[in-house]
Amino acid sequence: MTQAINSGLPLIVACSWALLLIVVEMFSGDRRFVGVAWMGVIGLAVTAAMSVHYASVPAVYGNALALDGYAVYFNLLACTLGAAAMLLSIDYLGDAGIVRGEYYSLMFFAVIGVVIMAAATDLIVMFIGLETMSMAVYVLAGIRKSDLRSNEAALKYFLLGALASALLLYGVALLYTITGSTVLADVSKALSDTQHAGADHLVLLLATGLVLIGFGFKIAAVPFHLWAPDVYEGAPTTVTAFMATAVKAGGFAALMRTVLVALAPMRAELAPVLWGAAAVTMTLGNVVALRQTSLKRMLAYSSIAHTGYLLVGVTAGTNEAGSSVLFYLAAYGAMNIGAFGVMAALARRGRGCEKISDFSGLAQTHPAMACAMALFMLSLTGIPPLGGFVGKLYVFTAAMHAGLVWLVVIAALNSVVSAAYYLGVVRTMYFDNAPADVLPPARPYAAVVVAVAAVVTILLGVAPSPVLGSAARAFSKVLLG
Amino acid sequence: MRAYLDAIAAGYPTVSPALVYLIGMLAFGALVVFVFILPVAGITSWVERRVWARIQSRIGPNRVGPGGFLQWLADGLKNLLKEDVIPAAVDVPLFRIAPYVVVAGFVAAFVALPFAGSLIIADLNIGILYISAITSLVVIGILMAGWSSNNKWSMLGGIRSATQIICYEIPVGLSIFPVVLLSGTLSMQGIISAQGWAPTSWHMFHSPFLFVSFLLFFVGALAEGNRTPFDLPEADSELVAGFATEYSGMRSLLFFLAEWGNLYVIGVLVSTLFMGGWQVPHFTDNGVVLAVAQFATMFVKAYFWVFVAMWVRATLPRVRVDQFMTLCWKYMVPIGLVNVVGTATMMVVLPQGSIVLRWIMVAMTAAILVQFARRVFFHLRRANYGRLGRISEGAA
Amino acid sequence: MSPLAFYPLAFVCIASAMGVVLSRNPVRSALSLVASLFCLAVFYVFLQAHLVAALQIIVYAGAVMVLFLFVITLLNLESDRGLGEKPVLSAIGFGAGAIVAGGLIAALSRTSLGARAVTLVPTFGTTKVLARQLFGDYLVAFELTSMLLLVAVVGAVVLAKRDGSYEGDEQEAAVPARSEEASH
Repeated sequence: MTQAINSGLPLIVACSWALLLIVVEMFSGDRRFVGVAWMGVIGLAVTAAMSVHYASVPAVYGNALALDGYAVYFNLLACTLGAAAMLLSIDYLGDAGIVRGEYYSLMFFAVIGVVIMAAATDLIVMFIGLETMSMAVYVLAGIRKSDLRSNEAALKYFLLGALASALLLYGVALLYTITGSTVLADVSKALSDTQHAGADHLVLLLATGLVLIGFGFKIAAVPFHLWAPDVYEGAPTTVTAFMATAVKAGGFAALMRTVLVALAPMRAELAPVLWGAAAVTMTLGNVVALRQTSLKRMLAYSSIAHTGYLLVGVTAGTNEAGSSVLFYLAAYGAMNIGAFGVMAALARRGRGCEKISDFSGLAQTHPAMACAMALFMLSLTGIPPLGGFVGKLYVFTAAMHAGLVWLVVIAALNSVVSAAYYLGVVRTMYFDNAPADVLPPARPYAAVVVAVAAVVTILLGVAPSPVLGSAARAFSKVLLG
Repeated sequence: MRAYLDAIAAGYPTVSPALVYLIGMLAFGALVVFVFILPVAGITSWVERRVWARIQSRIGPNRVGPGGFLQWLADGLKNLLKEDVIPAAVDVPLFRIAPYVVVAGFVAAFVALPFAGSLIIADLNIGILYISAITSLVVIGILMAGWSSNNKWSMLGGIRSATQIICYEIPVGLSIFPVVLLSGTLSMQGIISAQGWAPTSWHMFHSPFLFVSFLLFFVGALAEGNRTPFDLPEADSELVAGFATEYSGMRSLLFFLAEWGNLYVIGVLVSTLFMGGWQVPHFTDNGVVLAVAQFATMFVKAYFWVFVAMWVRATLPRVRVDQFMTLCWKYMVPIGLVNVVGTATMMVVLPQGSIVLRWIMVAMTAAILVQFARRVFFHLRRANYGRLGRISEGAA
Repeated sequence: MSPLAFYPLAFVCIASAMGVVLSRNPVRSALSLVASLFCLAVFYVFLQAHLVAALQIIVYAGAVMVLFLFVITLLNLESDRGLGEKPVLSAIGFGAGAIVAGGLIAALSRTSLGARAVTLVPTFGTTKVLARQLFGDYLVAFELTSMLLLVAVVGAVVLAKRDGSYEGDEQEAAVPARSEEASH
C-alpha cells in the first residue's frame, strides 16, 4: 500500500502543483508572470526529485503505473526540458503578445502528460497521458490568438492529433478484444499464447497498425509528419522548443514501452514496418530540410529526420539499442532546446527571427550566441566530440549489433546530407554580412538557458558515461525476460 | 408483470416467449399511457388553469363538465381535429418527428416511476439514473423542433431550452447524490425503502444538507421542465411561443402534454427522493388495500408538488437569462458540491444519522410552514375583507 | 439477446451511423449520431450493463450531442459544403474508409472471439461492481481522466477568452497583432 502511494506521489504532487499554478496565476498581478514561471520550474524540480527518491517501484495500482528506472529517466528528462522551456518563455512571452498566465500551468500539465506516458504500464493510462500532453500542447500552439499562423498551427495539430488519438484508441480496443487486457505485460503474455492461432492474426495486425499510426503521429514519423512543419512554424518559438524535445521524448517513451514490451511477440511482423518507417522518415526529413529558408521549418524537418534516427534504435529493439535511444533523446533535447533558445533569445516583436537569413552575420553582432548556435548545429549534424555525435554513434552501433547493416548505411548517408543544411546556418552566421538593422541583444533568461544547453551538449559528448550508464540501468528492466 | 407474462407464454407453447414479452410489454405500456399518463397530464392542465384563476382572482374554465373538469378532453378533441399545418420552409421530417421525441422522452420516464410498493413497471437497479438519462432526450426533441421550424424565435427558444436543461442537469444531479449516498442504491424502490412513512424518517429531514438538496432539486427540476420562473424557452413576450411557435394542432398540444406530464414526474421524483414516496404505516395485511393506500399517498404527495409548481408559476416573474445562469453556476452548483461532501462527512461522523437532528429539522420546517400559512391567511383576510367573500372562503 | 430485438436494433444503429456520414445537413448528421448512440445504449442494456447504458445516454446523447447540436444550430452552418465540392478528396475518403471497413470486417469475422464462452457473475454490470472496478483496479486511469478533462477545460477557456480581458493589457495585446498582420 505504501509502495503504491509512494509511486504515485510524484504524480500527485505534480498535479497538485499544476493546479496551484492556475490559482496563483489568477491572483498574480505581474503581467509577465515571472513568479509563476519560477514556481513552475520549482514544481518540476520537486517532481523530478521525488521521482528519484521513490524510484524503483514495480507496477502498482492494478499494474497501471510503474515508477521504474525507465519512468524516472523520462521523468527527469521531461522535467528538465519543461523547466528549460519555461525559463526561455519568461522574457519571450510578454514580447510575443502572450498575456496568458495559464501558459505555464498548461506547460506543466504537458510535462505531467509526458511523465504519465513514461510511467504507464497500461495502455489506457498511457493513452490518457498522451491526451493530457496533447491537449495542453494543442492549446499552447494556438495561444497567440492574434496570430493567424498560430491559430492555423493549433487547428491543424488538434484535428490531426484527434484523428491519431482515435486511431490509437481503436487499436488499443482491438488489442483488448484479442488479449482481454490493457496491461502491457498481460497483453504480451496473451499475444505469445495466441499469436499463431491464425484466426486472430488479422485483427492483431490491424490493431498493431492502428497503435503504430497513433504513436507515429505524435513522434512525427513519415507519413504522419505532415503537421509538424506548419505547427512548429506557427507555434510560439518556446512552445516549439518544448514540442520538439519533451513531446517527442514522451512519444518515444510510450512507443518503446508498447512496441518492445506489449508487442514483443510481434517483433517479426513489426521489424520490416519499423525498418521502412525509419528509413523513409530520416531520408524525407533530411531531403526536404535542405530546401527550407525558415529556420523553424528547417528544424521541424530536422526533427523529423531525428525521429528516423531514433526509430533505427527502436527497430533494433535490443537492450543496447534501447538505452542508446534514451541517451540520444537527452542529447537531442539539449541541442534542440539550445537551438530554439537562440531564436527565442533574439526574437523581438514583429521580427520573429525565424528566417535563416535573419541570422546573417550573427557572429559579428552576437559572437556568443552565434558560437552556441554553431555548436548546436554541429551537434545536430553529429560532429565529434559533441552530444549528438555520441548519441548517433551508440544508436548506430547498437543497430549494427542487431544486424541492421543497411539501415545504418542509410542513416549514415543521411547524416552526411544533413550536414549541408546545418552547416548552411553556420555559414550564414559566420560568413554573411550583418544587415543594417542589427538584432537586439539576447535576453538574459534565454541566454542562460542557451549557455546551459551548450554546456550539456558538450558534456554529453565529452563525458557521456554518467548519462549513458543511467540510461542503460533505466532500460535494463523494461524488457520482459 | 414478468410472472404474468410467463404464465401467458406457458399457455401458448407454439408462440415464442420473446414475442409474448414484446407484445405484452407494448400492450401494458400503451395501457399505462392511455389510462394514466394522458389523463394525468390532461387533468393537470385543467387544474393548472383553475389554480391560476384562483390566484389571479378569476374563475377559469368552468363550462365543460362539473366545474369545467372535462375541459381537457374538449381541448384535446379540438386539437386532434384541427388542421396540422406544416409551414413551407420547415425541415419536414424533423419538424414532424420532434413532438414525438419530446413526448417519448417524458413517457419513458414512467418505466421506472414507482406508484406503490408493488406497482412499478420496472424497478431498474439504476432507476434514478435512468430517469435523468431518458428525460434528457427531451432536449433533443426541443432542439429539433426549434431548428427545423426555420424561424428565429423557434430557434432561440430551442437553444435556450437546451442551455437550461444542460446547465440544470448538474445541480439536479448533485442534489440526487446525497440521497443515493444515504440509500446506498440507485433503484427507486430501494430509495423509498430506505425511508419510512413518518416525516422524521424522510431523507429530506436527515440533515440540513439533505434539506438544501431537496430545495436544489425542486428548483432545478422546475428549470429542467421549462417551468416558470424558468420558462425562458417559451417566453411569450420575447419569443412568441419559443420552439413551439410554428406548431399547430395536435403537434403543438404534444409539447404541452409533455410539460404537464413532466410536472407529475417531478412531483413523484421529489416525493420518492426526499419524502418517503409511497410509504404508509402497515395498518393492514390486505395487500390490495395497502397498495391502494400507498398509491394514494404517492399521488397526494406528488400532486402537492405539482400544485406548488403551479403556485410558483402564478406568483413569480420570469428570470432573465443572465440571472438564470448566475443562479445555476454561481450558487446551485457550488452549494450542490458542498452538500455532497457534507453528506458524506455526516455519514462518516454519524453513520446512523441523528434522530435528534431529524426531529429538530421536522419541527423547524413545521414551524416555518405554520408561520407561512398564518401570514397567507392574514393577508387573504385583509385583502378580501368585505368583498369577494367566496374567494376567501375557498382559499381558507 | 433475442434475435427479434437484435436485428431491428442493429439495423437502426447502422442505418443511423450511415446517416451521420451520408447526410449533407449537419443537424441531421448530429441527430443521426444521437440515434446511433441511443441504439448502442440499448445494446448495453441487453448486455446487462445497465449503468453503462444510462451513462451512455446521459453523457453522449444527453450532453455531448446536445452541445454539438447547440453549436451547429447556433452557427446555422450551411449544408452541402466542404469535401463534397472536391470529388477527388471525397473519393479518397470513401476509398480509405472502405479499406478500413473491409479490413475490420474481414478481421473481426474470423476472430476466435465468438468461440470463447463468457460466463458472467450474477452481479455483473451492477453499480456496486462497476464502482469497485472503477475505484479499485482502474483508479489511476479514473483519476487521471479527471485531470485530463481539467486540462481540456483550462485549454478551452484559454482559447475562448478574449485577449483584452486582462485590464490594461488591451493595447499591449493589440500592438503585436497589428505589426504581425502587417508583416504578412
